[in-house]
This record gives sequence, structure tokens and C-alpha cells, in this order.
Amino acid sequence: MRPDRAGHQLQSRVIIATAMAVTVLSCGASASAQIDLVSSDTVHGVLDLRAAEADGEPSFTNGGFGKARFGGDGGSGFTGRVQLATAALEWTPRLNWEWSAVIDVLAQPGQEHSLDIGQAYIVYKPVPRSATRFNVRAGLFYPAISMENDARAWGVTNTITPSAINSWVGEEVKVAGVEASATRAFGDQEFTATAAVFGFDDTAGTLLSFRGWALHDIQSQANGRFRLPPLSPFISQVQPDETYSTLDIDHHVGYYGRVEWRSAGPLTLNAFYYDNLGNMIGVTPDLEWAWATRFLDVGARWDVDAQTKVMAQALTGKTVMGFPTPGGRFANMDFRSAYLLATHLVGKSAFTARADLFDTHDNSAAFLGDTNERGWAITGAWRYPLTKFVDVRLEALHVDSSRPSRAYANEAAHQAQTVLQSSLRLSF
Amino acid sequence: MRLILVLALWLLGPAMALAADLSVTVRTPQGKPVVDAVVSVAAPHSGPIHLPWPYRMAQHNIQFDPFVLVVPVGAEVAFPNLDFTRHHVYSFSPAKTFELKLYGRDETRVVHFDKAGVVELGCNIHDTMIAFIVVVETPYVAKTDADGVAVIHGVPAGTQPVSVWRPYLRAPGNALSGTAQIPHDGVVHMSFTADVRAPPERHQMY
Repeated sequence: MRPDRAGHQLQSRVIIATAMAVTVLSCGASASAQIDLVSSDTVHGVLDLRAAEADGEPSFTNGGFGKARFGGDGGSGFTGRVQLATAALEWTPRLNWEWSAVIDVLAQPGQEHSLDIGQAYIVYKPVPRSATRFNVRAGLFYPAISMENDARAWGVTNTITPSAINSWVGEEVKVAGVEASATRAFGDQEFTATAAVFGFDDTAGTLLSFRGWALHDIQSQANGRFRLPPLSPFISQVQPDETYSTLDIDHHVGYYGRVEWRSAGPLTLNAFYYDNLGNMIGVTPDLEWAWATRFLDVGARWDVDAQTKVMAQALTGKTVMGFPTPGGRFANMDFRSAYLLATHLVGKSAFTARADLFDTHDNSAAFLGDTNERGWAITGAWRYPLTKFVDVRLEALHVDSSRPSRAYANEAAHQAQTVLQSSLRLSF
Repeated sequence: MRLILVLALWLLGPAMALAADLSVTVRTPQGKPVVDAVVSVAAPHSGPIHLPWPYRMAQHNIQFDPFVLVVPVGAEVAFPNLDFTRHHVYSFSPAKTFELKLYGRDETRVVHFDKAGVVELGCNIHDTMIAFIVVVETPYVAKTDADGVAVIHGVPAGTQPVSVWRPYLRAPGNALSGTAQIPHDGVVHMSFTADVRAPPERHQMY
């Protein structure tokens, strides 16, 4: 199956399933005005006008190893551009009092399709009859891993660029599945447990292996692909220079589980475990592989006071792909990253500082390719709401990393880069 | 005329002489006022209870208003939805279990509260909406204002138990208690110190 066909199929399935569900449920709903398809309550949008200046290596979005959304020309000077960085429409039709849906349609420059689906899922949320609240969703969605993406259309809350961890989630950890969660209050504490089964996330690990960690706010499309940087001589025989994020190749059902504890005090803790149970050797005629990827993410938030909060996430995992060779599987890599973020409010301004650490460890032989990497990033951002619907953000991001595979692009292994961005964001 | 005046003094005199106002201040250990704390005195009383504020829990700008409402047992509480959006108000509290489906700018619905206790309200559509209705059996009740002060008028003289309750108050059962010596007239002042934790922050999008 061609990846683009598979993607189209998924997109069609998502649209058909959503349309069918909307129809069935609206027929099932009583003739009263329970249904709300188009209103100010159900149609939301985000427009992000961006100006960016960056130095250093070319961005991965241009087929380079650059770790940010915007890069330089490889020289020491800064390159600037202005663009509509994201246009998103979020449709949240309400079918009755307990059933609703979320459909995100996104446009981001440089994506394969000028418009494509980001997330599309149905939500069932019965009214609580006891101290336990239930929530079920089914469709194409991001698992609740990121503590930074809590705005419309999976937007970032306080910065322009999310952490390395959540940038990777945005590009390779979106699933098509069914998720159920239960939340129960124990006095002033709350505990949430979530479990899901999913497919269509078989290529998770491809970008992380061949490009490495990155920091950007590009979301994967239901039907789109990411370019890969130059590959090793061996890998370029078995993998094209692009990866489709939402593919089901081996038809294995993956799973994830999550627990969250909100204390009566200022502390919130969560843990998330994911395994796509990929068979490693499943492959499309276009050489998109079924990677076996699993990881553990832990997160914490500490509300220091009404103005200050500190958040951290740490993620560690493993991804493996391909047939066994004397040097191991085609790709076999351990990966980990962590960030520490603090946001402080001064009046209406939100100041955020974040430090990221990331590295990968290649477990297969050097002749297969080198996916080793280590690096760090620091981010400083200011967000200011101009009106209820418009906010302005300024951000400085500096990434420093060492990656031997940059040799495939005739670049030095060590690269440093600074990206300055401003964003005028309309959301309604 | 003089007769009426004498009669009025005769009628009012004993009442005025046998009760006083209780002014209670609730502050955090840092001295910040604690707003929306319910101060009550469980003194004997007779007759039906009428509290001097509307028995009304509005939904406005995707929030309940007020955050804490005090009503007597038997009260009929109005739930006007002033938003254009719909709200699905519910409570599973033992003191009152109910759900109300309120369309945007809908007509006001009324709920009868027939049991004393704390009723926690939520909205199944907007998880961030939280409010509390405190159903009481005493007329001697008031809520702290922006300065953290609640004044209860006409508390009967004598040794009276005083309790303070507020959502998220850092105390067992979110409550504090004390005793006040209420004189025959005048004002008696009392103060409580307790921290208040931030309400639980809920995710909007996941």
C-alpha cells in the first residue's frame, strides 16, 4: 500500500466515521434543540502570524538537520521571514448533552497538503452520578502527554515553541484509537486513570531516529509526511527520505496508559506509558516501516503561588526497526529528554523560561548508520494578551547539539543555533 | 404620639438588649483576607428563615456566580443561564443530587434544596466551572466580603458556637470552629486564621 494511499484512506475513514457518527447521533437525539452543529460555541479558529529570524544550519523542514522550525542558510548570518505560521479551524459539534466531537483542520506552510486534518474524534462524557467522572474518546487524537499544549487545536499555552518532548509528540505520537478515562475525587485530591488501544502510529520513531530531537510547533497531518534529512548509505537503501506519521502497517494494536494525581496542595504528578507493539519488519511497498516504539513519560507541575508555576517532563524510550543483521536491526535506538519550565505572571504578561536536555543512543552497528545525538536548548518567552481574542508572543530559542550523522549532509557534528520569533495570535 | 413611642421602646427594648452583632474576620496567616467563607452561629431560633440576598446561582461568562451561595433549608434556588452557550449543571452531593440542562439564554430553572449540607456544583460541558451552595438551618449566617469580614446581626446573647466553612480551606473538613461570648447589645469581634489553597486546575483540552 502506498503511504499516500494509506493516508488518504485514513483521512477518508476519519471523515466518514465522523460524519456517520454525527448523523446517527443526531437522528438518535430527540427532535429538540439538543444538537448544536454550527454556532459560536462550536466553531473556533486560530491564526498565527509569525516573524522569525534564525541563524545556523537549515531547518529540518527544508531537508536539513536543523532542530528548529526556522533555520539559517548554514552561514553565520540571520535569515528572516514573515508567514502565516498556523491557520487552524476547530469544530466542536455537540450532538446532545453527553456526546460531542472535536475536528481540527490545520494549515501550516511547508506541509504536504495546504489543508489537512490534525485531530478528529468523538467524545462521550456522561453527567457524573457519583464522585467518579468518566470520559471516552474515539478517533484520531493526541494522547494526553504534553503539559504545554492546552490551547485550541492542540496549541501551545505560553511559548511559541514547545519542548523537545512535546515537539516529538506533535509529529510522531498521534494515534487512531479508543481511550477511556475515569477521574475520582478523594477529599480535596483527584486521581485520573486512562487507558487506550490504538493503531495508525506505526512509524513513530522514524524522525526521532534519522533526524533526532527537534523543537518546533508543527503538527503532523492525518495524511501528510515529514521530510527526512540525508540518510546513511545503508538506510537510504531501505527508507525513502520522507515519513508518514499516521500509518497502520502491521495491524498490531498498540496501547497506552496514564495516571494523574492532583494533590490537595500545589503538586500535580502524572505518568504515561506507551507501546505501539510494532512488529519491526512490517513494511509498505514504499518502504515505510512498522517501528516498535515504547516510552515512559513522567510529568510534574508545582503551583508555587497564583503567579508562578513550575513544570517538568522527562521521557525515556526505545525504538527498533527492520530485519536482524550481524550489526543488529536496521535501527535500534534509545532516546530520552527532559525539560524544566517556569512561568511567572506579572500583571497580564506571562514570562516563561525553559531548559531542555535531550540525547539518543544508537544500539546498532555503525555501518547501518549513526543515530547518536546529545544536545540542550534554552527558551525564553513573553506572552501578552492584547484583547480576549488576540495575544502577542516573543520568543528566543537557542539549541546546541552534537550529532555525528550530520556528516551525511557534509556538516560538522556540532551545531548551535538561535531562533528569534514573534507571533501575533488570533484565537476565537 | 408619646404613647406609640413608649410602646415601640417597650417592644424593641428587650430585643435590642438581648442580642448583638457578631463581626468575624477570616485571614490567611499572611494577613490576606479570605473571601467567600461562610460564618454561622448555631443558636436557637424560631420561625421560617429568610436570608437577605437572592437565592440565585447564575451562569455568566462560563462561570457560576456567586462562587458560594448560602440558602436556608427549603429554599427554591433559581439557575439563570446568562451565557449564550449551554450549560449542563449537576451535583452528586448527598445534600442534593440533580442535573439541569440549561440552553443558552434559556428561561430560569428552579431547584428545591430540602436538606442541610454543602452542595458542590459542576458543569459537565465546562469542567472549569465550580460553585458551592451551602444549605443551612440557622438564620445567623453571613459570608465574608472582599475584606474577609462577615457580620451577623442580632445573634442571641450568651455563649454561642461559631463555625467557618469555605471550599479549599486548609482545615479538616474545610471548616474551623470557635465560641463567642455574645453580649446583650453592641458588636463583638472575632477572628480566624486559615490558609486557602488554589482550586484544582483542570485541563481545558485533554
